Amino acid sequence: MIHIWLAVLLLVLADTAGDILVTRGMKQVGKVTTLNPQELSKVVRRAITNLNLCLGILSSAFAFFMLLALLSWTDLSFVVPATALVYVFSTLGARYILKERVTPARWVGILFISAGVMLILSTANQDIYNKTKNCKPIGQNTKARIDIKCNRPPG
Amino acid sequence: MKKFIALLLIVVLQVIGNVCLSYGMQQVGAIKISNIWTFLTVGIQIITNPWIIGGVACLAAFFILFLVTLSHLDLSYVLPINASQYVLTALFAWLILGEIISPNRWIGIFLVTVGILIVSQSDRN
Repeated sequence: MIHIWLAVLLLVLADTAGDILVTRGMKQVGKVTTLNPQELSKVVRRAITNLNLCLGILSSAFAFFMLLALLSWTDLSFVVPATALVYVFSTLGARYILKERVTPARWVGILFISAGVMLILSTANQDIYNKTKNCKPIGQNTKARIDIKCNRPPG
Repeated sequence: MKKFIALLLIVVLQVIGNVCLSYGMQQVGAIKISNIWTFLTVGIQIITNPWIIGGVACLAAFFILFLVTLSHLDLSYVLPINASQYVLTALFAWLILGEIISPNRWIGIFLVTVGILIVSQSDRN
């Protein structure tokens, strides 16, 4: 179970960091105001050399891979609500890293989200993990019998 | 009317995309990566799985539509509509993927949805 909670934490942290970095990077790159090919290529060059933007995209990609891994281990109805933690972490980041002002009303909402996510995290189960964990990567078992829920031959 | 369809599509595309991803990953099987070869093998299985491809396509479409909609509508208006995806995801997971969802999980999802509604309300003011 611990690997599920750890993966959720990594997913949420990476997603939040990705959002913040991409926003910061896009602000630095500036608005796309014209479709003129020369201007556009300048914007593109600024975009692909912007560190914030590149790190942000990498971070979001990592978050996506964490999502895929989690979906192979546990329920969809567990994973998707767990990602709502992003609201909590981005608010914490806004307050303590970006030093922005957060209204009390927003904190109340964050409280509800936290309570909900904690309840959901407590319902973590290993049903899908147990169902598919004995699959072996193709090539390790020549007497293959393809299970409908598992492309890889079961162990 | 166009705004209503856009908002509806945003939610539906996201939910269906996630359902496809979940089904595809269950076909690939529980991820256990011990070395570079299992990483590559699993990676190839993932990117060649039709459900994963379909799911990614849905989520890409959602993302583009989301960005386009945000250029017309306020985030504090789109976000509460998007909050319905949590309930819808659980519903679809129960109906299509046959998941068993405990009452605690439903309560948690309800709390999360209420929390997001409060957050977007606070952003509006």
